[in-house]
Amino acid sequence: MRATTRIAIVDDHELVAMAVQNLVDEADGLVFARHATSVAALVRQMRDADLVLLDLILRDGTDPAENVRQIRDWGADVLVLTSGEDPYLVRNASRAEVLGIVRKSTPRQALVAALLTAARGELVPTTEWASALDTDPLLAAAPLTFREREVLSLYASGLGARGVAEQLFISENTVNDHLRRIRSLYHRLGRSAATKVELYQRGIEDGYVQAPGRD
Amino acid sequence: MTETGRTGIGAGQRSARRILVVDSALLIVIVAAVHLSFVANGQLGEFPPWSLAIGWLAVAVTLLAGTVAHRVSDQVLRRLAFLAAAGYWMTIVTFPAAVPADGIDRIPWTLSASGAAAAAALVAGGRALGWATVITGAVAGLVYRAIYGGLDLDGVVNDMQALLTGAVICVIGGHILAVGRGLDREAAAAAAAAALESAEKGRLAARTKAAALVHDEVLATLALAASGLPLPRDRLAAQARDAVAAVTSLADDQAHEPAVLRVAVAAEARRHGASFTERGDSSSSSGATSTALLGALKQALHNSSRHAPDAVRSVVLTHTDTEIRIEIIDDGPGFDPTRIADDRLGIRQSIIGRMARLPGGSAEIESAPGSGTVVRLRWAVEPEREMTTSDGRVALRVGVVVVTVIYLVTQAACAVLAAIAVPGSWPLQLTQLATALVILEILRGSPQRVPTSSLTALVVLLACGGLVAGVVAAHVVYGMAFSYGTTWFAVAVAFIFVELALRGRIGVALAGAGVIVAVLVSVGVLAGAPADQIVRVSMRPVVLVGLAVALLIVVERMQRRIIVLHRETVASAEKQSWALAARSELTGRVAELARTALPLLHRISAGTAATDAERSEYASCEGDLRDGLRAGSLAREPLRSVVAAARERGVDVLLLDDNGGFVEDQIIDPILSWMAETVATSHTRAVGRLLPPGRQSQASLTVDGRHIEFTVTRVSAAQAQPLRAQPINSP
Repeated sequence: MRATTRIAIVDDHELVAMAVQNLVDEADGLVFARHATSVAALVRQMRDADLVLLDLILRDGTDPAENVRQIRDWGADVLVLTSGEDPYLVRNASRAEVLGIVRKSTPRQALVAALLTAARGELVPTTEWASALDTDPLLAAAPLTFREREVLSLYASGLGARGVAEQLFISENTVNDHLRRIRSLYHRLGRSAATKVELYQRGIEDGYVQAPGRD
Repeated sequence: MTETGRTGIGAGQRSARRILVVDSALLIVIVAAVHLSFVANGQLGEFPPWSLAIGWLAVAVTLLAGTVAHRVSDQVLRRLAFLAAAGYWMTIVTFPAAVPADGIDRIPWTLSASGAAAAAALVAGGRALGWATVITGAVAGLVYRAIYGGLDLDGVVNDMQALLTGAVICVIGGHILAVGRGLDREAAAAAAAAALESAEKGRLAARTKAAALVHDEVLATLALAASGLPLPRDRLAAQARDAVAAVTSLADDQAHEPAVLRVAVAAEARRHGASFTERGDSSSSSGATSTALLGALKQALHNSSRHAPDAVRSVVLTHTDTEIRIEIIDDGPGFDPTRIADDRLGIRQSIIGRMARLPGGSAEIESAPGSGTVVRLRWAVEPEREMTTSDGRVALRVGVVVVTVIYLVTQAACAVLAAIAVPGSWPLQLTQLATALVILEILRGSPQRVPTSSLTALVVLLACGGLVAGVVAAHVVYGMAFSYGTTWFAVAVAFIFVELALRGRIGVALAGAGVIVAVLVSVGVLAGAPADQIVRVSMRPVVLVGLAVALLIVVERMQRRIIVLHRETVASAEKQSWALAARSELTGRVAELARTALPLLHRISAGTAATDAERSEYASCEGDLRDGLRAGSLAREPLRSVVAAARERGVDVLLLDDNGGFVEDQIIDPILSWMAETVATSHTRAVGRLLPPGRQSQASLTVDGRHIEFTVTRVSAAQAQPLRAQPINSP
């Protein structure tokens, strides 16, 4: 366990970086390391951060999943920041090894809590993240147990781990175990689905391929 | 109908011409072989070398064209065909000068090649030249025979049957050229549709990307402005100015793209406080059409607002297969349309005149004092092209009629000549002619294009039976020699098989040709005719049927290709309209963005300190824009305003439509009210979600940690039954 966690941010907007710096300075055990406008600019230097906050849509048009991969190779954990994008991009990033997907407009306390959780290297499950997974056709065919699907669905409906635990009469730890297993399964799917399925899905989502049932 | 000099020859036409040229070469090989058998027998008069040279030149050019057809350009091919056709004409025209002093017993052999000449002429100069060549050849043949000798049964029958073969080639060959043209048209249409489709797709992709970036920019700015974090105000103002510029340039770009009618009409209706309804699937319309329709709509709405300021106005955009219609309806005081003064430029010029100037456009005004006003703008959608090449079919039908007439005349002439040449044989000739005509009449009476199996069997039986009876009678009863003239009816029967092939019975036609050859060869052998004589006599029926079948197979393949291309065109058009609809959705979203976010962004860019109320307003707007991406069917009233109010109270509201559009409208409305009721009481956080299809519930709502689900209880059939009175068991 680190005494302090260094946090870097990759975002087009300097102002977002300044806002994040504000939050980081307030929190115990977090240190603001650096702001970069692209992943390439970030990883060009020696690693000086333990956790990177990555903007989902970058102006340079880079692929979120590829960005995550580069930062992971660089040696840092990744927490993705979004403005509220379409589920396709959220899924794309979720399949890569991220700790979670957090909306920029999340209330301040919740945002700081998410930063602290991610700083401990723990999973940050959010409603947006769970909803994107819960509706991913890729996951529909995955070997999830009934209970795991139940947990995911409830989580996607806005409940936190405690709320899900109460609903299902199980412990909060069990809920978190389920979420971790779903996440790691999803990452595995993400690696194998990088090529064909991904292209096909992208086709559906862009409307170039007729989705089954659309006509 | 010549096509010389027309540019833009397509692959279909080119291949049609190549096929005809190859066909011409094949015919000439057959005719030349027959001719050489005459030469070998020394049955020819002495012709001057120049005359022979012209004939052989025509043959050589035809063969050359047929050999190189697939390797030369269309232009070269047509020149070669023209040269070949010119050669035949030259042999006909120069024949009188070349006739030997001692007369002839055969006219120029190239005249028998009128089928080959017709094919070459079709390629060189279209149908007109083809027919001219066939008819000139036949007339010249008869005239020369009359003048220089050789007007015997064999000769005249030969000319008649050559005329018939030529006519068949002109009709089917002309049809191939027409189908080739149709193929090219269809290919061009398919290519154009594909180009439009990919352009629209590209536009959509570019726009999606641009919109996503701008959206991101706006959301980030609003979230920052709402956050209340101690950020430098000048930096926030600069960020807001960037966002304003991005939204403005996106909206401007949009204005330069082909108008999406639906969006523009909806925007115009909103501007005038009118409700907007769309019926039917959005179809594409050209820029000019959209401009005229929008201009007239603007004027109509303007007039309505001016003369009936308090009326309820609605705009209805209707797309049907045949027209695009915009109706502007108000329940104002109305007026008498017949009494519009000419000086009321508004209605006369801007509405009626504008629509009248648009090809296919019109406008009508329905109003009476006290009963409101309806202005109806119409634009007739250009009719879609027929799937079949109808012009080709009509030409084919006319051609078949012409050939049938030629058939009647030539076969009647053959029968009469044969009856004269062999006195007393008229019952045979008459029977043969009558049989052929009866069979054709039976075929003509077939209700379908392809005759039924039983009808086909009857026709084959009659044709073959008649032929066998005819040849047997000719040689056994009348003792006629086996020759071209005495077996004229073999060609008459062959033509019946051509007719069957034209009607889709290609296999039967080929088998029939086989029967004809078998009968002729057996009779020839039995009658002790020389082999070359038998070959010559059997050749014409084989050529006639074989050629027709070959050409028809080519036509069929081309038509199949046309249908495939047509389907591709339709598919492209569908994809294009999908992309168009998606883009119009996007355009609407950008318009919404500009309408709602721009005033706030302008305020932020002023750089003054935000009050708490303003920050709540930014948060609410940010949430509303996010809903545009993610809330789908939930972004509707009455939920929308409740959510906006909650956000202004500082509640973090998240609306997720994870249903993918499978929920029906009658379920959505109760869900919206149900959610609105609870969201109105929320304090910190609310997540409303439409669940994916197939779950037990349709929607879920989590408000301040409390989770509830919405389930439509379907009333089962048993429950729906009225309760039966319970039988009372009295003791």
